[in-house]
Amino acid sequence: MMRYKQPIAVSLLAIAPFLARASDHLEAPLVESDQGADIADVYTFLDPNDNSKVILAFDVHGFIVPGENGNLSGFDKDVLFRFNIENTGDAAPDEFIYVNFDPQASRSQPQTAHITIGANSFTAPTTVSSSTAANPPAPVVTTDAATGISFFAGVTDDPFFFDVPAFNRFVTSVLGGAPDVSLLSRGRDTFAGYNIQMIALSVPAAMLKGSAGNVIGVSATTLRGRNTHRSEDRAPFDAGDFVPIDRAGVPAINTALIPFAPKDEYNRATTLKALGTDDAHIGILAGVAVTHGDMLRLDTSKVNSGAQGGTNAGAGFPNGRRPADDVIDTILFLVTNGGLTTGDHVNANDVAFRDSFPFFAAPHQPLDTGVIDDDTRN
Amino acid sequence: MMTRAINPALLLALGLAAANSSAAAAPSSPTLRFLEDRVESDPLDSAAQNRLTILYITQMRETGELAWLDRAAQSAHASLVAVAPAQNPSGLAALALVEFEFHHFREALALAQQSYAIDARSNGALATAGDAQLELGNYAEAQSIYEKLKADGSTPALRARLARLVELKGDNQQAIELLRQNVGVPGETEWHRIRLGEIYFRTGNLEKAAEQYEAAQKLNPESFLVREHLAELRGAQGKFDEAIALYQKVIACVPRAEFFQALGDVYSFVGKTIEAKRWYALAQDAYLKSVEQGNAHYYHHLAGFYSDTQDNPPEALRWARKDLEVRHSVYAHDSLAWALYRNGEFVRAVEEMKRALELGTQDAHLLFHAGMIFSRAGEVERGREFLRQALRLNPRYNSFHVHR
Repeated sequence: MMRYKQPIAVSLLAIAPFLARASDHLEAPLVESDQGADIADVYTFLDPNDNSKVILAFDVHGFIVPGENGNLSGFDKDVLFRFNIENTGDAAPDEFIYVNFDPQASRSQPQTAHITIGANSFTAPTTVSSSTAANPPAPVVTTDAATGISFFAGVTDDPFFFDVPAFNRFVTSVLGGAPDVSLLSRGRDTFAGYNIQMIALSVPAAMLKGSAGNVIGVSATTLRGRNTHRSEDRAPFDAGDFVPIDRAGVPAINTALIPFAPKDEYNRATTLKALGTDDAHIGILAGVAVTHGDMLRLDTSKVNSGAQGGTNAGAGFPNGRRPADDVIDTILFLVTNGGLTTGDHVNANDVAFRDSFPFFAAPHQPLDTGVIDDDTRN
Repeated sequence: MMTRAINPALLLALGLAAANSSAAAAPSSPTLRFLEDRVESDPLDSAAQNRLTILYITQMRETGELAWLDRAAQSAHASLVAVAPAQNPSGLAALALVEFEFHHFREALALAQQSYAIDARSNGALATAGDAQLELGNYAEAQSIYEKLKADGSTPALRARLARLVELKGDNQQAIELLRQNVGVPGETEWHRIRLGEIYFRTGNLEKAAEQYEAAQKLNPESFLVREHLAELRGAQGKFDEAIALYQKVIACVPRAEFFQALGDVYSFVGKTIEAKRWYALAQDAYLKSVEQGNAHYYHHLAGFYSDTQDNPPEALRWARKDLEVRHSVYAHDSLAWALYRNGEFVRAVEEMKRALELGTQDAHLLFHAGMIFSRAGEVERGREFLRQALRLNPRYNSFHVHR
C-alpha cells in the first residue's frame, strides 16, 4: 500500500460494513481493503551497536490510535509476511525471509510467530499491547541461537514523520505556478500519536550478502492464500497458492514523489516535470527507485553509528533507510533540484526511537482524561 | 438533540428524546475521539478529516442517526478546504461517500470519478462510482466497475455488491450464493447475514430468513437493523405481538419515519386501525420534516406511503416523480408506476412498469404491482401471469411485509 493513499484507504477498510435502510436501495458496504496486509514502510539499516547485523523491518495496519492498541494488536494469521532480499545486483529477489503468525488466542496473550530463512526456522512470541495500561509493554525480543537472528513483532509508535497536508498544499502552490515554501513551515507530523504493527529482524549481514558483495536490496511483500476455505466445524482459513497483496520498498516512490501519478512508474517524470524537477534529478530519483527495482539498497560497508538506529551522515537513506532518516526532506531536496533544503519542517519522529533493537519506539498509550498532548492530541 | 428527520417535540411526546440524544452527541469509539481531537488541534489535517468522515458515516449506519451524516459532510468539506481536490483524491472520495449517503447519486458519481481520475489506485472511489451508477439505474456501467474491482480480488464487500446486482437482474439464487461466501469470514458483521436473510424472506423462505437474522443477532445483539428485520419476519410469521414489541424497541433507539410506518403497518395488518393511524401520522410528520430539511432519503418512502397507507394518489405521484429525479433505478420506476396506477393512469403506469421490469428483477412486490397494473390496463392475461409469477416466487407474499 502506498503511504500516500493510507489516510483514506485505512479508514475505509477499518470499518465494518453496515446497511442503512433509508430507502429501498442497498447501501453497499464501505470499501474494504486488507488492513492486516497493508504495508506502510520498509526499513533497512545496520545495527549501530553492531554493524555486522542488518536490521530489516516493515510495518502494516497503520493509524492505530492508542485506545485501540489491544483490539488491533493481533497480526493476521492468514497473511504471510515476506522480506525480499536481492544480493546479486539485479532487480530480482534472491532470498526470502518469511514470517507468519498463529491465531491470537486472546488479547492478553502473545501470538506465536514462525520465522523462516532458507533452511532455518524458529518461533518467537509477539509483544502484547494494551489499550488501558499507563505504560507501554517492554519489547519482547527473541534471539535464535542457531542463526543469531533476533526477532520482534508488536505494536509500536508509527515511525514515519511527515506533514502530509502541508506537502499537498505546497504541491498545489507549485502546480498553480506560485510556489509557496511557507506552506511547509507548519512542522506538524501527520503520523504523530498513531501506532502501527511492526515486524523487525536483526540478521547477521553475512546471511544476507551474495555475489553483489556488500550491497543488498530489500523490499517487503504481504501474501495471502488464493482461496478461503469454509466449513461447518471450523473458522474460515486461507489456503492454496499465495498471492501478493501488497509490496513496498523505496519510500520515495510511494510517499511523496508522485502522489497521484498513474501506476506506470515511468510516467512519474510527467509529474516531476510539472514540479520543475530537472532531468538530472529525475535521473537520481529514478536511480533510487527504478534501476534496481523498488528496493531499498543498503551498502553494508558503510558504517552506521549514533543513537536511535543511527544518525551519522552518509549512512542513511537512500542508503537503506533508518528510522530517523528524514526521507521526505531528501525527496523534497531532489524534487526541487536541490533548491529546497528546509524540507517539511518535520525533522524527527514525535517520540525518540530506541537505541537498541528493535529501535522503533514503544506504542503510544491513551493519556488520562483531560491530559492532552498538543502534538498528538492523544 | 434534534435529528434531521424528527421533530424534537414529537420525540418528547414519544418519550424518546433521551435515547435519541446519545448517538450524535458523544463519540463512541476511541478512534473517533482521537480523530476529533486531532482535527480540533489541526483543522488542516486532511488525512484525519478524511478518516473522520468515514467513521461518521459508519456511526450513522450503525446507529441509524442521520445527524452523523452532517458531521461527515463537515469533515469532508474541511478536508477539501485544507488541501485542494487535485492533491486530495481521498477527500474527494470521502465527500463522494457523503453525497451517496445523502442520496445525491449524481454528485456522488461525479466526485468519485474525479477522485479516481486523480488516483487510479483508489478502489474506494471506484466502488462508490459503481454504487452510484447502480442507484442511477446505469446497471451496465455498475457491472463494468464491479468487474474492474474484481480484478483486484474478490472481497466480502465486492461480493455484496455483486449480489445486489445479480439480485436486481433476477438471479436470486446467485445472489444467495455470493452472500453465503461472506458468512463466517474474519471480521464478519451482522450486515451480510441480514442481506442473506432478506433474500430468503423475499422469496418466501421464512425459516432460512429466521436462521440468518438470528445469526445476525448473535453477532450484534443490539443492532437496530437486525431487530427491524426480525420484526418484519415475526409479522410475516403471524407473531404480531413480537413484531410490535420489536418495532417499539427499534423506535426507542432509532426513531425514524420508516419504522413508525412499519409499526403502523403491523397494527393495520391486525386491524388495529386507531393505533395504525397514530403511527402513520407520526411517520408522515417525520418524513415531511426530513424532506423540509432538504433530504432526499424519503422521497421513495413517501411515494409508497401515500400510495399504500394514506390513499392519497396525487401526493404519491408527486413524491414518486421526485424519487425518479434522484435516480432511475428499478424501484424508482416501480414506485412511479404504482403511483400512476393509484391515480388511474393505467396506460402510463404500464409504460413505467415495463421500465421497472426491464432488468428482469424477480421480486414478488414488483411482480404484484405489474400484475395489478397490466390487468387494469386491459392486458388481463399478462397481468395474471405476473401475479402467478409473484406467488411462485414467494408463496407467502400476502403475509406481512414492509414497504422498504
